[in-house]
Amino acid sequence: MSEKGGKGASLLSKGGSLKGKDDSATKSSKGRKVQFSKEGAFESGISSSLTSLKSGGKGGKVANGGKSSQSKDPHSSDQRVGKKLSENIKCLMDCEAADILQGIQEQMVMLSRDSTFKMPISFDKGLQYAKNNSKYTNPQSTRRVLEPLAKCGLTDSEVCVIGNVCPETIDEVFALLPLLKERNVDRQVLKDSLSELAKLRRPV
Amino acid sequence: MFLKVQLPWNVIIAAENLQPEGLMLQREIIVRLLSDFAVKKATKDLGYFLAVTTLEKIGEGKVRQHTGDVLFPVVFNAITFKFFNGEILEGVVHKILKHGVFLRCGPIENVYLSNLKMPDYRYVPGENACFMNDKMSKIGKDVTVRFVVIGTKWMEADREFQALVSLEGDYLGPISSPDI
Repeated sequence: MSEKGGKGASLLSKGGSLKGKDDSATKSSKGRKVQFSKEGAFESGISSSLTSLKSGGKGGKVANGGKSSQSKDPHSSDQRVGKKLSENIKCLMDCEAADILQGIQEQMVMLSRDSTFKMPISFDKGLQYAKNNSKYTNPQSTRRVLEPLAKCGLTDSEVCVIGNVCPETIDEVFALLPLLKERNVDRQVLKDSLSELAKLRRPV
Repeated sequence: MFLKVQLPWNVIIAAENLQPEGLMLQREIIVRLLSDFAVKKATKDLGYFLAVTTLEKIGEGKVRQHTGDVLFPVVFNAITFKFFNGEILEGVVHKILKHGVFLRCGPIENVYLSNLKMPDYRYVPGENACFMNDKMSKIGKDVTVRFVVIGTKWMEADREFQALVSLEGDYLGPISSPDI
């Protein structure tokens, strides 16, 4: 059961910058702006993404066709859900990743017998996250169920978001992925996929 | 989200580690690759490196002129984790401040959710400070929250990401876990 936020996007009415004070010991000399670091680059990235949010209505134009990701900012990431990825990158759902990482974990005992063997530090956190969020018993069946969506025009990343979130209704899908509304996705295919997904869900 | 990536890398084997027997050479290349992979931690384009899955091919070695090391071009597959703008994820609150909360999500520790991006939630001070709305929905320590990613930043010096997220939109907010 989940409590949902329950509201449409209420956008910032003034300005594009976030205002807030960090209560921690290191108080920013700039005072009221939320900062991750002394550089202003992140803020400019946020300001512009907030400005693009302003131009949307309910649900917000969170995905704005790439305009909000500022290529001028060397620190901000250009990738967003809905954009096509390069050939060498494929999106994995949490359940698929959990399967693969769990397999590697099971071999850890044998692997760590070799003193030269080093494991990336993010491995454990990645595995934990994947296992906790893995909602399905069978990743292969889940992938098969979502195949019709890929043929419907959804990108790899959008299919994965739907797989990870496991929305209950089409309204939820369009609320979480507003770009899909503009793309005339076949609602019946979406509905069928969601009901099939629900059958594959692991009992809570 | 998790990504499966195929990467071409150059693995450098020092002269003293080169063994005449073929299998030992291959082992040395793999060990070197895994070590380089682990040390890299993360990149801006691919996110956090989690694990190497398969080795596709090892190319012909080239001797480097001045050092005598041999460079092998390898192609391998790996799993990484990266935030995408517009992605819907779930994180756990680990730090509460007056103007927002920090969440952790996967390998990312610094996921910031500003009060300004929590519609109708107010800060409730106290020993167990939290944010609460009129419907008594609470965002406090160890609460799982579903959010949308609105921005990410790559910190070159620490080789890690920070992220900015929001609850603006339907179906976003704290998720009550099944206790029973």
